[in-house]
Amino acid sequence: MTTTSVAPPTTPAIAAVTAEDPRETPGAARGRRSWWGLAFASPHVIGLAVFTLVPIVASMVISLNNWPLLGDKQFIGFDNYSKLLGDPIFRTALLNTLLFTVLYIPLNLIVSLGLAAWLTPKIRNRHVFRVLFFIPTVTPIVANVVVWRMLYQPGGAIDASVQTLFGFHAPNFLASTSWAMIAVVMMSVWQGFGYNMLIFSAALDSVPENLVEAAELDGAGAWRTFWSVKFPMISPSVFFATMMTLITSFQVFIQPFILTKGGPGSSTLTLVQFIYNQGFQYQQLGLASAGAWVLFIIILGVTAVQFIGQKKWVHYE
Amino acid sequence: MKRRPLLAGAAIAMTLALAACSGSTSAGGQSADALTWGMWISGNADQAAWQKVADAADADQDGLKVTIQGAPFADYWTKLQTQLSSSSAPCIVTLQSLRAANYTSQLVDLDSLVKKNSTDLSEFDQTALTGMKVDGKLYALPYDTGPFLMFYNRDMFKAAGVAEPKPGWTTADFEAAGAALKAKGKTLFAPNVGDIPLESLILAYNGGRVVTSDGTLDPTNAKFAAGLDWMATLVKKGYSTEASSDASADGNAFVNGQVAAYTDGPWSLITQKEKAKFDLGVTTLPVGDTTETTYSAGSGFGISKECKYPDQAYKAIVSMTSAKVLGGLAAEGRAFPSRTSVQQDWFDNAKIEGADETFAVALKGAVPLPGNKNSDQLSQLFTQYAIQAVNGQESGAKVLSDIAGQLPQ
Repeated sequence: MTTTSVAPPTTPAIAAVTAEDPRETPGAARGRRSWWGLAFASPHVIGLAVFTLVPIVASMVISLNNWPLLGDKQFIGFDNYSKLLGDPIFRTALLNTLLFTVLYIPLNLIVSLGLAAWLTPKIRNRHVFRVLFFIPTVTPIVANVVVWRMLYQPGGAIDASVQTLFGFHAPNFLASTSWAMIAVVMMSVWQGFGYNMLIFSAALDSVPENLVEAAELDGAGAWRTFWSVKFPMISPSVFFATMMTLITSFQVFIQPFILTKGGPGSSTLTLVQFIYNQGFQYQQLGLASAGAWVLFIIILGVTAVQFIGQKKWVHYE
Repeated sequence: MKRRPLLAGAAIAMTLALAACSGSTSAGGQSADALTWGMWISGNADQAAWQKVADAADADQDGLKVTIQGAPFADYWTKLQTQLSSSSAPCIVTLQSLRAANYTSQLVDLDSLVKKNSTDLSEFDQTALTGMKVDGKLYALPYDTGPFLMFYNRDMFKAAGVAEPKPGWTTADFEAAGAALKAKGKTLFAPNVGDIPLESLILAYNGGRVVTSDGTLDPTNAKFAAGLDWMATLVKKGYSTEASSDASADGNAFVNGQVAAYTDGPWSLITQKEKAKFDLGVTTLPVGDTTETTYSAGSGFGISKECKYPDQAYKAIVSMTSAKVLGGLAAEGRAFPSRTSVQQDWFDNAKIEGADETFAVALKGAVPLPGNKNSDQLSQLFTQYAIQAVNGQESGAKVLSDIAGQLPQ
């Protein structure tokens, strides 16, 4: 997503180079400014080229080869891709990722939007709540996941509370095929809602007060005011948050990696974990790169569909 | 026009900086008197202990300087693979017996160097030495060895009025202890589905193996499936907790006093003894219908093919596995030495009652844990799938067929 934003700074600089002529004073002045522009942009441009563009091209090349970490490489065209599509475990990983996304995004948006709507300026000490809700997002995710693993374990906090309250054991969340994905989603929602909540909260604050007052004078209740006035006004923020959350949820890795290692069976194996396993556990870099490209294309497609769909519900002033 | 040199200078500086970045990670700058040694390091105390080993190698060869390249154990293997694939591997590499097979294409076969330097291999524990061989060729000199064992909580056994396990105890004794502890509201055992613990426990139970003694994969082995089913009955009967994908769950449950026993290697004995707030005992794995009663896994030092000075590196690893060095490590309670002559130093330091008897019995029945090129993959699949068998969600046979379907045929 960031690649497109970088091209503009270089273009004027190049144009200025061709126009440079020491005899023309205005041109020289323009040229001098542009050279400095290029100089200031160059750390970013070089960084982008070396650390983003080169790896992207390299992964494309690797994905067309049988490329074990140790041993001989061999060009095999699109065989890695056809192997992936025929692999039942890859399909499982794909479905698991979709399931995660379908469960995670609505929950994340409901929780974050709900809390943002509740945190109106009328709430006393709202900034304290904002900070509290934002803490899970800024603490390192690995530490969060390890703590949640302890909560989920048999004999952990959840199990112990259920037993005290109801007298029976909670399920072994992380070792049960039916609970593991739900456990991963719940943990991810807790970890991730703070960021969206902050965006929604800021957007709601900027809704003009006179519109809300006008709606109230017309007799609209809080519910109606929210959905008919506030929500359309913040819809660009909702669109942005949905899109970013969608992209990150397709890339989910750390939560299942630490909570379940993809198990039990392959019930929480996500696409990125599949790619990680192929690359760093099984040393098949070609297959791993092909998997990464499939993931990239999926994210690109879903994002494109969202951009088309936004016309129907996002209101720009 | 002055801007051009400025920009060119900036570009050159940038390029140099980048080149320097890539250059510093390679083993470039190899020389006969400066060797690099890749080792897993878990902390400052660990670093200091291994530095002494490097110093010992320096002292034995004039002008030699061995430099440690440390990485945490879990990252060590990823780092090593990357280094080997990009020709930047250290000269001396540390290997685990069961993973040696993954790296043989990048390692020097030591046999000719052993002959040339007339190294006496008979002083090493023979199981440890065999573990470092792949297809009959020796790839590393072992520094430690470890028959896989069972650690138990003496206080918990005593409080429940259950007789302490004796080395060589049987699976029947094990289940009887489980029943007795359960009657007192305690759980005997916490399982671990990592490759070494799982394969060892099942080997002792009925001799089932997923990797045959010559290193061939046999992922649908019927006896191994029966072993998984037995572990499921332990859970069902309440003698064992459920398995977890977290590799340290069993050790944590043990140290926290939630279970009375779990399996681990000698390399963990000292740390666990320090962590535990109870009297820790050690015994052999419970033995069922088999004569091979545990796996022995060890680690050692090999030489990468990238190394331009194998003779110097070989002399260094001989120094690093000398009786003096291993005796020093043993006296600090680090590695249970691969040289039989200094194993007593380790027991003297461990101060665990009955440990020497346990080790003697365990080593007698121990066989090397064979490696296979797919052992990393197998280990990952065990973590994902074996918990389903142990927790009774699937049969052992079904789980093994799921695993087999994902391994290269």
